Amino acid sequence: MSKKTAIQGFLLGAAFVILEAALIWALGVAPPDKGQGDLQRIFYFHLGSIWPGFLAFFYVLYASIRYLISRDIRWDEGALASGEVGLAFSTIVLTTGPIWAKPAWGVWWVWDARLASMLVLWLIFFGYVNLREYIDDESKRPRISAVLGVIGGCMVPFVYMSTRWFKTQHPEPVIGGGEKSGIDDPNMVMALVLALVGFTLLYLLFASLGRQLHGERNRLSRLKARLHALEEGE
Amino acid sequence: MKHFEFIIAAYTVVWIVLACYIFILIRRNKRLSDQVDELSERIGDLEGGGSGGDAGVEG
Repeated sequence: MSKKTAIQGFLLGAAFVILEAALIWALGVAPPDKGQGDLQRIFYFHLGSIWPGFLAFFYVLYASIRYLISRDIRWDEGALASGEVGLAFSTIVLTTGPIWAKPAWGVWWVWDARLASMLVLWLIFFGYVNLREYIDDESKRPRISAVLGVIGGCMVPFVYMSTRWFKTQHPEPVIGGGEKSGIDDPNMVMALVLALVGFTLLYLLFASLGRQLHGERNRLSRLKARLHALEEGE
Repeated sequence: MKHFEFIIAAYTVVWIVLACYIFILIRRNKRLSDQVDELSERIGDLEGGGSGGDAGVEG
């Protein structure tokens, strides 16, 4: 077993155990919210998944800039892997959000600044991950992707700050969002911390696996080119 | 527990998305490995010996 496989196995096991603990804390140990009651229990995995999602998008921004400067394809592979994970986590947020909104607000969706900007961010990264397949020129593909990755990464602070800059139905951020927006019970904090740690470990695992896959895909392209050259030479 | 069905739906969605993503990663990995093996074999045959398809192709 290689060192990388051992680390990936450890990340998977640790993420699974911590997320199970987060589930127990969120549904069984943490008290119901004073305002929303038990419905607020959705919050722990809703926020727990978007925090590493934002981290993933920030890494796309960083790796895309590094690619544009160095033209080293490994930065493109890392950015793409991270973008895919961010997309998966933001899909969780965009699906658990409406499930929470319906009983809390009476509607599945409102077009306020937070929800709309989150949807735009999701669409940018959906395009980032999928549209590159339609760029035939392999030399242009990583460059165009990197530019889109920079645009998407720059949008993250706007999404986060949208509840402060605009009047929104969505509540203020829990972390650094002011006195009334936080959670106060230690068991609530514990459920949130466990979810954040669990999802962050999952992010590290998925990004590592994704990067490995994109590296293999590039290797496959080189093998194809070599086979083509050999067949031409026959 | 009030709104129990919404809470269960939300947590179910989380696990479904994660399971789908893991499934996609495994399927992609399998497909890529098969393709790499097949190409390596063909290159090895063309070069006239064993499975030397990976030689000269940096990982």
